[in-house]
Amino acid sequence: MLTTNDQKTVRLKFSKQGPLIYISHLDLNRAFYRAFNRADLPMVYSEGFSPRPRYNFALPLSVGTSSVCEFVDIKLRGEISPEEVRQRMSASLPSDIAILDAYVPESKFSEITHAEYSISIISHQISPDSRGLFSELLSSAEIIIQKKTKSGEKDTDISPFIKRCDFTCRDGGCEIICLLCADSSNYLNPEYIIRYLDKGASLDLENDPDSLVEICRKKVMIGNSEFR
Amino acid sequence: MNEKLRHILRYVEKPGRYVGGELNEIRKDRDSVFCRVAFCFPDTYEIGMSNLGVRILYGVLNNEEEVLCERAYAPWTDMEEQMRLSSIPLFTHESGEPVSGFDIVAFTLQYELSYSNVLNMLELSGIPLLASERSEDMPVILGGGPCTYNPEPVADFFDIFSIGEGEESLPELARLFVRMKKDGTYSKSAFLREASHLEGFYVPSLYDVSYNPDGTVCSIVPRYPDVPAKVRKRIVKDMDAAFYPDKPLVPYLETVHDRIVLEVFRGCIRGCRFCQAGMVYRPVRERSPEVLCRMAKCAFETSGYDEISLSSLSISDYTGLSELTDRLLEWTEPKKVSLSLPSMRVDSFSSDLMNRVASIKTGGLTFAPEAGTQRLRNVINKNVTEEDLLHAVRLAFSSGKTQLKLYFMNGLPTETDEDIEGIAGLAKTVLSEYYRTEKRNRAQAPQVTISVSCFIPKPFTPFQWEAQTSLEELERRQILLRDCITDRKIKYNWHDADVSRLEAVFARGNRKLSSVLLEARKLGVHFDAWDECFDYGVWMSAFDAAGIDPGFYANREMGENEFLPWDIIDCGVDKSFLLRERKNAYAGITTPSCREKCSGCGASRLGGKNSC
Repeated sequence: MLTTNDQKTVRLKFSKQGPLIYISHLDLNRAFYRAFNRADLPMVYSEGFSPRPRYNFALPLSVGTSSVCEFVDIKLRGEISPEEVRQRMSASLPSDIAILDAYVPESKFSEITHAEYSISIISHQISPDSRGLFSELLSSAEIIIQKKTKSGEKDTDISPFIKRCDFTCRDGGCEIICLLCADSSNYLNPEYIIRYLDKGASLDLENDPDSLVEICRKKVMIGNSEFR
Repeated sequence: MNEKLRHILRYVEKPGRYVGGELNEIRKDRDSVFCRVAFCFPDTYEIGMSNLGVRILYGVLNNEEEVLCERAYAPWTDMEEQMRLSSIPLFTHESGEPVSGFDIVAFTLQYELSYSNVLNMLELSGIPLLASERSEDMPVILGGGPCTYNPEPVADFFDIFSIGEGEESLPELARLFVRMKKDGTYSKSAFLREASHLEGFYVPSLYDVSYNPDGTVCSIVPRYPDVPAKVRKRIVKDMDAAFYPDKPLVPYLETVHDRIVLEVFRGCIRGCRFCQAGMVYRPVRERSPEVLCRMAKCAFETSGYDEISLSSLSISDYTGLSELTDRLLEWTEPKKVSLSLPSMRVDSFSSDLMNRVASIKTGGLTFAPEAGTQRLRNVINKNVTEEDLLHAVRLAFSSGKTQLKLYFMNGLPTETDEDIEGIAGLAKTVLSEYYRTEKRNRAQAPQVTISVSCFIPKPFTPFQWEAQTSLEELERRQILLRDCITDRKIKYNWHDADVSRLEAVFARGNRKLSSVLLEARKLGVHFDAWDECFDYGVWMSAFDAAGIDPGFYANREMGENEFLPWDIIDCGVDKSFLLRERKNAYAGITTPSCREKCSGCGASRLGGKNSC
């Protein structure tokens, strides 16, 4: 019988890019499960009728969003170094998931408070002057969006969840760096920022075939320090 | 990936369907090969990725050094709309290159209801639909798969068909293409002529079709003496030596069959008289347990899948089943990989198997008695008795199962109301077996689901000449059955009869149907296999516009001396055998399995190792 002393957790920090940004969180979960099998790691399994390996991710990532700061905690048994986990997983994962770091974690996912995103919008509706409009839109006392809930659409004020938003606008596009709440009860998807600007500045992104939106999760934070 | 595509991916459901990049995807340099094949699956990504045949052919073609094979699937309706709006042509997943730029565009024809998607995919590629309207520099359009046992309804759209199993013939075809390109003798017409000499290829433009005054086909004859009068299907003789995708493509999206598919054997020793697969995949050819075990291990290590499905038409007929499961379980259990056995026959269902196989332990169980009375089960040669079924059901209930599913057909030849009522009766008997089982699971209420499809006469079966029961009569019998079911623990599902009627038309159609397909496509049909897209009324308008009566194909009994559109194909099973079987059906005489006694169907002359 294994005691918990034989078990340890290894945290992997990884990026998600290329075509893989189009797979969902559930798909990613399955992809990791299969990668563990290919890497033949000494996984710890859950008890019960259909045992599952024990691992979990820090924050879900929306379909279409890339990231350079994803985290997964893996429960393993026996002697295996984080470096070896890193090597075996790097060999078994597709190249669009790159492992950036592997270590024994000292923090918990539940401590995460914020996440930083970079958003790039290409649209001929945007000019250097758009900066003023965007700032105005996002500095209003209330930012009401329609959030989908189980009981239909619901108006929600997202202004308390936006910690910071900086714009760089040029002719034909803009870059936005924003820091948004990402704790378990107050998670704001950056998609809502884009939708709000799209509507408020009449960008009509969907019907403009030359428009392009790219979102990347850049950092995950605990207060003012970067999550590790 | 270009920006136009990235733009639209933001606005479609499940964009992961369209981007490729799966594990074990094969990417090759376009410029280093002489033959580029775009392999198209005319349904969604999730269905296409579940198909073992596509994976095999993708693998064998890419194994050829001078050949490249990439994949494309039918874009779902939202994606199609976006593609049309942004003028993005159909592209392959590996390179994102337009399908129209490939040398060969191959379609797998798995079911008749995908024909409209084939046309739509050609349309989205900017390729003219009719072979006669395509110029020399356009790709060769190739068709294969089970529907090509009667290729005639789509013959006008294809340049060439691969008949039978393709893992040896498709590389041969690609090599011929490469050789002709290299020595400068290639032109599309010269290539097609040469290809018609390869075994297992049918080039429809090299044949003249003539019709009788009553609309039946009079003959299909080759235009040139060097073109074969009959095209014999190809088979792989030695399954142990046959290619197996030991590095399976692993999708990220959840697909319909998301697991390792281990093909245990081909063919079927049974001879159910309605079943096309049971006839056209003859003779039986088995893989040995050693080879299967090695293949499974390798596929597990390269894919990481946690489930292996043992695939065949009837898995319990595999002679090495207990050796195979023993060997597999040795390593699958410690690795927490589960085995699943679809296609179990009730007469071979044992407690031993139940205990071995996890999927049987966890999932629901499905049995297929096919007909409600013993009389009709004898007619269709489903050699299963009510006692066989009840034995299996008792085992299932005593092991804690409460949910059972039973498959039936309605509209079978000679069917009467008594047979329909028999379906309800059998379901009732099965349910009452639950209450008679001592060790039953009392925590959960039992449920017996009966799922009833409509009989479709299929080419190369003893029932190929039969008329399909009319739509009205099929629907009357569906309602009759509904009214016979009074117990709420019996759930009744049925297939729409109008869908089955359309399938029957195309299953037994001839070349005249191409005009119907063109009309239907003009009216916008696609994804006919999907309830949310299928529109029978639109199809009927297409038949009207083309001046063709669907009843002529679906609801007419064909003459035993009539030239059938698929008589151009030799699938190994003789017409005389099919006729004999038809007579036996009407006499209620059953035919033993190939293992008990050879019935002389003719397929053994095709050869094959470890065969019947």
